[in-house]
Amino acid sequence: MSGGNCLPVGLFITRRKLLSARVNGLVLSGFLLLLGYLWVEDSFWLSFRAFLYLCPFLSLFFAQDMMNDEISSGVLENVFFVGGRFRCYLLSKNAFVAASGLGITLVLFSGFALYGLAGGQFEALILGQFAAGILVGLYYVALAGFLSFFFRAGSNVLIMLLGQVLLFVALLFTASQRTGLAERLTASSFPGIGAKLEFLAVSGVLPNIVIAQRSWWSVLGLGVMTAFFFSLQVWKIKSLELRRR
Amino acid sequence: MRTVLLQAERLSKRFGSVEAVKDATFDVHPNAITAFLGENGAGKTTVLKLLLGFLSPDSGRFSCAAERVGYVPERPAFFPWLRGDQILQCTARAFGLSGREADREVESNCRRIAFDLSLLGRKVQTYSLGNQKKFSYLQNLLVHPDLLIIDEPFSALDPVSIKSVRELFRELRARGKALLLSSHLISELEKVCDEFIIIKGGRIVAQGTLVGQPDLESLFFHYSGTALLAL
Repeated sequence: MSGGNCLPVGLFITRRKLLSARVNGLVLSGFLLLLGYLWVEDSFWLSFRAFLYLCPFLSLFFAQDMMNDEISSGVLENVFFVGGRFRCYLLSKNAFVAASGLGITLVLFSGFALYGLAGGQFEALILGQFAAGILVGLYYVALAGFLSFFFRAGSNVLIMLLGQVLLFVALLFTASQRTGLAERLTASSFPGIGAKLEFLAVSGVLPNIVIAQRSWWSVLGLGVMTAFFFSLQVWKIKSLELRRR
Repeated sequence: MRTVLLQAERLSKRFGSVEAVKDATFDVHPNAITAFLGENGAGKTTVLKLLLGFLSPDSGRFSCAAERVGYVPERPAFFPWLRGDQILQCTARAFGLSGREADREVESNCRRIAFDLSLLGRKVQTYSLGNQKKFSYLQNLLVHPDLLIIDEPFSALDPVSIKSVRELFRELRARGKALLLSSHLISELEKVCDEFIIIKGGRIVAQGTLVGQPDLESLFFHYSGTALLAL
């Protein structure tokens, strides 16, 4: 039983969804306004740094409401997806969402990089930070996509943001301890396997810290976690059945 | 020997402790409209979903010689952010139709099933139930399916649309297509069907052609074991 190609269908539907979601437009506009404000009020350099650290959040917001609503609403019981092609569609969504985040990020990065190169304010170090930012964006898509099997609408993203707020509060509480996590993060010092694992656990909730602390083990750790959550998604999708509405 | 388009062999599906479909074995033939009958909860929709790949069978298998399979669900649902024309445009692209071909077909199919062409500029979610059903037919016609599976083909349709849809079924049969219609409206099915499959408690209890048989209603009550009450 063959039929329509699921990739153009996935691309079309995902593109339309991203364009029609108001929150995506608001987040993107807010992000651009913030960068513009920092550039005008402070400096190009601060604006560029803010971009590098915050750009993965675009991927996070694009990954809202990835699976649950579509699976439970019955929209997948369509002629597009007979013969199990809904699985190919759901898998392809991850790639298209990640590509959308990456595409916008690349356009903005190119603008910053060209301006920086022209003014002699571009360092090779930035390329490493940008690459780490791309990995963080992929991690957000992998984790938010997995969470969206269990949470409806945009609550997968809200839960992740809430987790980050709670983590931030916890870090504030440990800031007074000289041997606390906040101290180690500030000093970028993680002696021993325990401290490294602690850092990776924190980066599981707030992966953006890997952009600042780009040691080989932190990048590898985040890469492994990204692969893990993508694998969980593949496993969920392969065993998925459209049972009821 | 008749050509078989779809052959299901000992299909079984269990949901927890409920055995929804048990050893279902049946054939669907080209150039035929097959009525798929059963009481509420008999397992009709589960069988359809198994054939469509929306569910995976626990055991058994089916082979399908149809290159393209269409599906009109009982209550069609569509991506809420897409307009009718966008869904049709995507369908045409996915199934290899040029934009011009698709436009021509959509226009003539709208007339065939009494669908208001001007609705296509709106999001499908805003249509009435009947128009959503007709839109689902419209989308499936664009696919040119060799086998069209329809769950409750006449639900939510007005009498004019029911007549149009009946005519559509006859046209498709004349073009060699196979249709599998699952419905409770036996009187409507009787007007178009030439074969039947009856399912009871997840088991196929009868299958055959309607030629030389009493009316479909009597067959259904006979095989489903449901007594007709004289009121």
